[in-house]
Amino acid sequence: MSINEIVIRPVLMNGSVIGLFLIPMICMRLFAEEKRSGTIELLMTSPVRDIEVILGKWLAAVVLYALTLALSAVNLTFLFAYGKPDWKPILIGYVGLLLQGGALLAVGTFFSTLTRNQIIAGVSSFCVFLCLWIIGWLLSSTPRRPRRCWAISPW
Amino acid sequence: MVTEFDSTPATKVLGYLSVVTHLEPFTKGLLDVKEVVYFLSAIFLGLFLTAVPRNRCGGGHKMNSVGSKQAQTKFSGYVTLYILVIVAVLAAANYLANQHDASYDSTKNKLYSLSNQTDKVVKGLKQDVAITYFDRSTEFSRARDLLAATPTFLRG
Repeated sequence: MSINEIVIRPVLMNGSVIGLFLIPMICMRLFAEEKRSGTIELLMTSPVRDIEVILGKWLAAVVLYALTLALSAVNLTFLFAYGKPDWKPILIGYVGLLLQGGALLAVGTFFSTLTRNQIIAGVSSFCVFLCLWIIGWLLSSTPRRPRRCWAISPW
Repeated sequence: MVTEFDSTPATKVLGYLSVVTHLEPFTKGLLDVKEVVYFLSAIFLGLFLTAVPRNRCGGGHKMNSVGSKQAQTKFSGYVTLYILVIVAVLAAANYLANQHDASYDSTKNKLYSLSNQTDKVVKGLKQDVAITYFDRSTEFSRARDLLAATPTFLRG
């Protein structure tokens, strides 16, 4: 077992769980606040295309998330100072976290356009993310459910 | 041969949507093409849904709609069709990416790939091989990691 397996992999997996809480907070404001304060009309009539506005807001959210990830990488300097972890898997792990963050931020941006209340936007995107999380338990085999439970489960 | 729990097509499709299972290869240091495709299509779908117009006046945002109710209904139909087509295209892309198993193992001693020697031995086999694995059930995930690296002809 290498240091990557013991230390870094669980850290990355926990990082994704923290992202689950953080990402709704980053993107809930994107459009909901514009709609609440009425600046959305200004934004929509300004000489930029809709897709540019959306991409700009999404990219801003991704950059903020990437900065958070970069801060979490500060811990790794100690690991490199006192040990010899394999750096390539770490890099790929962070790429994965960034891709996952980008995907969730895109979904969160969509939820932000549905309402003018940022709390509603945040909570509904959090609910969807949580569902995306626990739906994976359907595939995991360790807590094997007895057959009787399968008979009453909808899938 | 590993007996996974009885999974139906419905659990497979629903479970495929899960974010965590797609992140796992990355945390191991595997750059898997199919997982990259999954996340990119999720990004695309999210941004597409944000950008898709909600009423005939265009823009993804509530404005005072002009025009008859009938025209709006027709418009909603078109938009729904548009979204369904995009979802179908993304599903097809994901399906294709899952058919071709291409990944890059970035770990120093190729932890998650089979060596050439193993490949050679397995290709020379005449009979099916049954692998029986004994461990505590909490350790199964580690064993599954190793098994995931085995190509399909070994997984049987």
